[in-house]
Amino acid sequence: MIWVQLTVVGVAIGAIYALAGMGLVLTYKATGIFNFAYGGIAMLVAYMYWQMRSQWHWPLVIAAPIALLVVGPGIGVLLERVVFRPLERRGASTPEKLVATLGVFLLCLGLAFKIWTGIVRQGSRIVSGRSLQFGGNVRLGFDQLFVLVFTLVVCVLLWMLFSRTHIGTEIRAVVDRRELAELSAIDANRVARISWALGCGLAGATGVLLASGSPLDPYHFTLLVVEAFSVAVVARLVSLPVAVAAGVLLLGVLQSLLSRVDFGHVPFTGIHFSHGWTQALNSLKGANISAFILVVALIVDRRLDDVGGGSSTTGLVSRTMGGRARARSRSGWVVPALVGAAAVLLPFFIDTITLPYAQITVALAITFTSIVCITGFAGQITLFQAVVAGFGAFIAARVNISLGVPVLVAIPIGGLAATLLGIATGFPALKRRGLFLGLTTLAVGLFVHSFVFDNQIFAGGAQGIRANRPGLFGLSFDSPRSFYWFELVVAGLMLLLARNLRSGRLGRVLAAMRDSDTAARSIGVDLRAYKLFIFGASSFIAGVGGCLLAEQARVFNAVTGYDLFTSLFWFVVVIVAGVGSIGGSTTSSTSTGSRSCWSRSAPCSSGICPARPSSAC
Amino acid sequence: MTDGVDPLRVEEVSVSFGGLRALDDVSLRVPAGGIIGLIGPNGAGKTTLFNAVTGAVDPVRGAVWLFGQDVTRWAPHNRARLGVGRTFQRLELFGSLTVKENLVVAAESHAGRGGLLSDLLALPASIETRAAAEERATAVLAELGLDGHADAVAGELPTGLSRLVELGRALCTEPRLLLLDEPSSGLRAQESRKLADYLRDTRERRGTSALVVEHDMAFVLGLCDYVYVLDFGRLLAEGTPAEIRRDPAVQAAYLGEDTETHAGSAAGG
Ligand SMILES: Nc1ncnc2c1ncn2[C@@H]1O[C@H](COP(=O)(O)OP(=O)(O)O)[C@@H](O)[C@H]1O
Ligand SMILES: [Mg+2]
Repeated sequence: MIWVQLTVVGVAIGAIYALAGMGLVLTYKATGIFNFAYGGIAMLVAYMYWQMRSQWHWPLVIAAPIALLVVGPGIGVLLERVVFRPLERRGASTPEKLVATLGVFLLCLGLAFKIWTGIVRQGSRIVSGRSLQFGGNVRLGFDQLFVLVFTLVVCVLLWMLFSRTHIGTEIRAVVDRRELAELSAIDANRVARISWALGCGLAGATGVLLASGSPLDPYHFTLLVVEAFSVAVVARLVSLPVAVAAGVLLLGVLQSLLSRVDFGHVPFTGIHFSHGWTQALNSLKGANISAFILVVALIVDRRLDDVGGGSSTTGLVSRTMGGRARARSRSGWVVPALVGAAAVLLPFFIDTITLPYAQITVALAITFTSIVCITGFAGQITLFQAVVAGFGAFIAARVNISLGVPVLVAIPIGGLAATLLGIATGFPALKRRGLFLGLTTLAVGLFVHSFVFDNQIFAGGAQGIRANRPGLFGLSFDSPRSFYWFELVVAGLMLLLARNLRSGRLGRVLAAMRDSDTAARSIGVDLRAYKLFIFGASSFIAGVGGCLLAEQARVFNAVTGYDLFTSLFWFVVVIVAGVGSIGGSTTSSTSTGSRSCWSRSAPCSSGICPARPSSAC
Repeated sequence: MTDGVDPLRVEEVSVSFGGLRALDDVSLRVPAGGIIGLIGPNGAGKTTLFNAVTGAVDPVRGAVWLFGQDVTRWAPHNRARLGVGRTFQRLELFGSLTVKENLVVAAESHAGRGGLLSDLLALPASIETRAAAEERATAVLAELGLDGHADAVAGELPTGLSRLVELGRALCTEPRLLLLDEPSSGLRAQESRKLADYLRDTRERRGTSALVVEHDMAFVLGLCDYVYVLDFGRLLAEGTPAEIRRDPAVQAAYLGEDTETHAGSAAGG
């Protein structure tokens, strides 16, 4: 009977994810913008609803329509008018739009923290918590029933909108052939506005339903976008009915059933695993199953690119980030030399309380450089760089602790492990470009985070793994200053690598690949080799940077960072700082590093900087 | 010019985009040292044929032979390395690189492969390749009269110059077969004539064969030894320029479509 009960729960949750998937796809298909702020908007609307119900004690019949029909769609209309229409008008590139949605997401988080603080609240119920009792002990909650009916109604309304109304036809026309629709008399702004309103309205509905009677905090829906997206991917971004089915079956029912399987006992066979493995497998049950679905779907399903449309990767980076042709001046070494000298001398001018932030800054500069290399030089969008860095740190700490490999050797090993992860990701990503490449990396990142970092067997659970600082010939780089200088040496080496990636033949080929992969092939460039290469090389740099971040904190702990949120944030920072140059990565890491100075008081940034400076420094 | 192997043979190739049959059972041949024309109205499938030859699209049927090898299943870059250079109708320059860098990157790609690690660590071997490539690029720039624009950013050039840069880039890979997609569109009449002379000259000196897609009938009929006419994805006619000029089917289909723009030049050619 428990299985029937779990299926009922699963169907309800799955239906909510299906709604989320529909909203995400709708906006994406009609406007070409993949809304990373999706979860943030859901969270804001859920908070608004909570505010109206639990704080102001407004009646349901007023609060619910306001939340679902006014707040959510209103946010959508506002975003379209204020953010995305101007971007569209000046022909913004895919990464720019991506960064804009990420920016909106951070804004949502900031707003929520400002207004409602980080305290976990109990989300307001949309219907009573009572339930119907069926034969045996299967119960159907009123809220579950409501979700099912609500989903059904939304589906019917959407169907009517698309098949019966004029604006629906227009949206479909835009979705089918954007270029053609622009030629005909369709008002693109109106279509965009309505799609944003619908998309954000569905986001809000998802938020309110998911938070109904459950805990609610600002971070709560961070990854909703991934769950929604995995539904959408399975539905091939086109079919609404499939989206519903996928949400219901895969995310809802499967996850709900999985949560009850005891891996210590394999059904029907009587096999028992040893205790350690049982624990590890059981800890996977909590893992996000959508990560798994996403990875599989994105790797297996080649045709997804067609759906993604020819969202031009070409010119995307060159426009945002400035060509490399300009950046050649004779006095080019002066500024780096000055910055370098200042960096070396820095410890003499600041106290030991502040020095850890300088240490973080240097380590971050290395990881940011890795993003500059792959996105700036080669035009590949990657959204999992923090996970790559974490993977490097994790492997380095593991071989150091478990195998006794000296730290100085463990760091390159960590870097190489990250390289392998990068190449392994680059491989399925070979055929993908632009946004879909980014999403593939996101899926891999989520996968690694849930199945490696969150796994007790590998990553040492909540305490993490100790990350020792290096030494050489009896010389220890353990003290704050010596570790800082050690970091500077490593950073110097990594910047040299990055420079070779930018200048000379490699730089030219990568830029060629970024500007036009068709033409690059036509002159005999093996794109696959270069793509894998740049994935590997940038991952190496990220991995080494991750090692330093962990050693700075003296612990590798995946709970405090190295996750997708950090990855997305890093991506935003680097793009905003100007990804075309190595200087950009240095500037941005400095500001991020110094911002973490006040991270102790601002909860919002706690997830941003992976390694809070360890007080032991 | 006398070596027996045809640089290009296209055998009964068909290409489909969804329901649209962009090429239907097309066969053609570029003999060694030949300059062959390919004409037809917009949407006839000329660019698609180039794409099938270079590997940018996969034919549903048929075979592509380059220099005596069946390359139908080969990756694009491997076909290019056999000695096929191409220009694009919709320009595909490396917009953030300078004109010279556009050519250097092609020459380097031709000169050596592998050596990724050597490049990453900036080893001497990579630096030598670079010197040779720069030399080649400089020479080609001079030949095309582009020396004045060597340091211009490619993405900011006007169309006519861009076409020449694309040609220069293709030449830097020392191709034995050139595929030129509307090379004279955007050029002035005098520049077109210079381009035609240059192609003839390249054939004389290096034995480079070419397949040229062109709208400008005068250009094609003046330059090419032999001409194929495509219409709605099918071969409508083939023959020497004189034969093509007389062919009633060609006049009906091709001139009927583009009378305003091209009748004058066709009559003049
Ligand atoms: N990538 C593509 N996807 C769908 N249709 C295409 C594609 N490329 C070309 N076509 C179609 O194939 C036909 C032939 O196009 P093309 O080869 O560009 O013609 P031409 O170069 O002779 O003007 C046209 O109808 C065009 O719309
Ligand atoms: Mg064409």
